[in-house]
Amino acid sequence: MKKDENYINSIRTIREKCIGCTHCLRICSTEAIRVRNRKMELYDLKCIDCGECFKVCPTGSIYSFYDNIDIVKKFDYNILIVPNILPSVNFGLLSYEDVIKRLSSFGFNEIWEEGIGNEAYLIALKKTLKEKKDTIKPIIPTSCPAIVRLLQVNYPLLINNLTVINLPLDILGNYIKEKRKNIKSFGLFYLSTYPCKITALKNPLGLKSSPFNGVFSLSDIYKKVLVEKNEGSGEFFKSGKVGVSSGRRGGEEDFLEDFKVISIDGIWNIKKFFDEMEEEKIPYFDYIDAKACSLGCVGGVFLKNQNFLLNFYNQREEEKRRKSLMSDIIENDIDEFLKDESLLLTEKINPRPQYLLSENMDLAAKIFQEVNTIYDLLPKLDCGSCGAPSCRSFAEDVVLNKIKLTECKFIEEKNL
Amino acid sequence: MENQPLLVESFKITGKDYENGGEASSKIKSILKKLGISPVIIKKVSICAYESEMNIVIYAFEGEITLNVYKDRIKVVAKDVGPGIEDLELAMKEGYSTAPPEAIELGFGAGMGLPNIKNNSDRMKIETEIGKGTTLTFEVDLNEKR
Repeated sequence: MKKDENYINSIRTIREKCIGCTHCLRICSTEAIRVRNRKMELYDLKCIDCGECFKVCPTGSIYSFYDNIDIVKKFDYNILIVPNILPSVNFGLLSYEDVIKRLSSFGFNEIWEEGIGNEAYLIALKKTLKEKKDTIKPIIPTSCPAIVRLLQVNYPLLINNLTVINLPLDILGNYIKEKRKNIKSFGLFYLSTYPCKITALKNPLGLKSSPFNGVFSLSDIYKKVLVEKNEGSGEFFKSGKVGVSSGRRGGEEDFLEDFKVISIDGIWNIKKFFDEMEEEKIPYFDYIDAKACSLGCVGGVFLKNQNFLLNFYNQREEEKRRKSLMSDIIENDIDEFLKDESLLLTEKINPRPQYLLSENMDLAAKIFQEVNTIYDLLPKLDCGSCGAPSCRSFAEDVVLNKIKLTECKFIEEKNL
Repeated sequence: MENQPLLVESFKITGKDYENGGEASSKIKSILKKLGISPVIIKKVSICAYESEMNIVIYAFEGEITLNVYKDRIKVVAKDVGPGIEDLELAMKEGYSTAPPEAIELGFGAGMGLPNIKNNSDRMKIETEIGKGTTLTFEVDLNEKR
């Protein structure tokens, strides 16, 4: 799949369904949302695709872009990578194996677990921690694309802490692509539970192109699996315990037990931690296992009606069922995974701060003071009825001419 | 150098308020980010601002930190009402500290505060009067690429 530089995020809204209720406004960690004329509006460049807005939307008007499953028909031979948290998803009476068989019937000749990529990623990371002493610490992973984007838009001081190791998903994608290069018409796909990974495949960070040909969303596939009656016979490649555990909070920490690792889950917790890291208030750590979703990827966003605490439990149960620590493929072919071409990012990930008041410092200082003047007039309740997430962001919007001061209900009353 | 500051912001600090210590420097950091100051400069100023803020929290009764942004430099003035510094030369020495036990228990008082400010700023000045208070001023130049 070619890289689409203009593809910024995967969050989409159905305008007719949106009632302008402001739930999404408050939950957004990068203040990317405004409500204008009773409809949600997204500042694309500020959005990091964490999907929290999707989780809280009461009317179901927020969804994520995904490819239609029919694109598999374009290829003669199809391979699907399933997310490492798929075992945690509740499919009612269907067992995990049943789900895989039904998925296979959609036209997949092979199904691979993403966890295999996570295993390769963790082995590479361990090697880096052991051998490359000059790496900037703590290392921040690329495995959660929402975190990478958060660093880009909000924490330019920490961008050099990002590891140069590829997204686990892309490591596995590159490996499969190389191994199956003799097959002529071959399509590689990913089943995503997160908008952040969809964006990461459409417009990969730190890579020139993506090994994938398309990406599906679990919320779309979920229904299809439930109603499907056929079972496919595609080959299934499983990860070990490590691959399964890396999808939940603390999994990576368990594997890297010789190092000083801290696991943080939930976008707001991570923001608080990064803020303190920027101010150098955090003691030494080798690695931060940061995952934007609550309890890690098991708290993924595409299945709203699932209880992520139960998902966490299910994932741990699956871990216990896995016999070996690592997948056989990793045991036998690790060197192939650790080749620089498939393992490392090829481009530097640069910051793109979205909080600047102006590119020009003089002007920014002037705007800042005007914002303060406006802010002093406001009730400081952060009620959200103006459509901005806080009084301060409203004041900024007013000064930047994005909204009129009278949109504040309290100012309105005073003037009348 | 005596041009008008582009921006002046002040923050009140309460002595012994360990719980909220560090908030003023966080706010300073977020203002500098909004102005588009380069990450390297922000890092230097944050470190110095945090150290001077904690000095007020640990040693003084109350104080105020004022951020001044000029075209060519950032100036921070940390002024407190407190005991003052008895031996300035000694206070500048790495590892020397007169921090009270509760500060040491919290991990402060390693005697790195003032040396850290000196190392991370381009200019630093301390005026102190025993029994009255201390005013610490530091500046970081903006000569590096923004």
